Amino acid sequence: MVISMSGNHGAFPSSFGGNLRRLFHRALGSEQVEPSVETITTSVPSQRRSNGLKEFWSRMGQDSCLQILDLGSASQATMSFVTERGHKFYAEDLLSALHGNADFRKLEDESDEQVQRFLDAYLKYDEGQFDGVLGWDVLDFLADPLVKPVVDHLHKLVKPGGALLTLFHTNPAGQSVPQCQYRIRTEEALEIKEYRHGKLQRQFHNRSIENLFRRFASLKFYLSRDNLREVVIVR
Amino acid sequence: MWKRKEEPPPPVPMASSVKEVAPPVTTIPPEKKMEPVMDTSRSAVAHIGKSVVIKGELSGSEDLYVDGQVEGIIELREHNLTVGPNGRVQANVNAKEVIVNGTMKGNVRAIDRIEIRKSGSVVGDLIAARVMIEDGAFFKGSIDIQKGPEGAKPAESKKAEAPSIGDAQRLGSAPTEVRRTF
Repeated sequence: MVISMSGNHGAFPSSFGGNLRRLFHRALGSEQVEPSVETITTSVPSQRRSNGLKEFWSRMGQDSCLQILDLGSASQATMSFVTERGHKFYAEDLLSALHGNADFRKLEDESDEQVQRFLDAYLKYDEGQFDGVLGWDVLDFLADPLVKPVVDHLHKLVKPGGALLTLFHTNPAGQSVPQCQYRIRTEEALEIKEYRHGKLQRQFHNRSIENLFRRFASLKFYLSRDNLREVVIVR
Repeated sequence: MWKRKEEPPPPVPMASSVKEVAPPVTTIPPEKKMEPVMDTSRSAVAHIGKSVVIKGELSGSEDLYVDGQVEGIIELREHNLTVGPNGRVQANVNAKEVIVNGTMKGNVRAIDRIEIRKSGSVVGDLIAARVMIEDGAFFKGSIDIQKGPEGAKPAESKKAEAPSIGDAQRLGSAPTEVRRTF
């Protein structure tokens, strides 16, 4: 069988299925790395059930006046959800901080003085100040030298018994995935809105997550169908 | 004959036509109506233009629109502050309502609400009865929701008042404000 091409491999009929298209590109040696079908690629907010979020709020209990830190992009929904329960809401958009400062994206190692500058600029709070931290998928996008110092610093900021909710992508390192705003709609439902793309700095496995948070008291993993692993970490 | 001579002067139709024209006459001078409206809006809102830079304490008893640069303190109490798209405010603010379209750094205390619009960026600690953050807005800091007029009063005076049960729970263990240098 001879397949004639006019020189433009990208001119493959769009009506062909995704698998056939990938097979075609593979046969021609021009396989493209496409985002996984199950990654969140929509710019329209999508709803998602979150068992990790449910566990996080059950740990917060019925107390009011808690202090909750959101490390993602601040949203009206999350802010309202937190403050309507009588809690105080803090926002530190770490990814925007990284996005806006190239110095923090090109760090050499953990001893780099820029690491301390980053912590001073964006996580300067009292020890044991927070009852809960919404970390979302921020750790997936931090430069390597920042990850451990940030986690160790969060260990200081969270009260004993306090909780940290984090999400980890299961996609391979280096893949470009949407960076999303995670909005809390109910105690167990998230609305996810993509606002830019970012490259995954690494792929965390269960063991590497356990090692990273070994100073914390316990970890609970929740698997989901959309390439996001939810982990609730208790200080 | 004499009767016919009396007919030509037609004051009656003139009068009636004037009556018919009268309604449009009332709508003819829209400019006169617009002018007082413009005047009242100008007198109600003080404007700080794009090229204006103010350093120090700003206080007043009228609404303020800032499209320039202000550094220091803004005290409006019962009035509103709007930061325009070109506005850059680096100040602690005390007002009834604060709307941010531009850039603001500093702690903001509002009796009613604080609204960060799509193009707005706020870095600071906010205390208000309501806070609104539009999609696309940037916010870094803390938000403390305090319903009622005590939101705008100094912290010391809160203890002397008798707040409602809901407020008492909040105020009873009101978190100490963490002051950060930006």
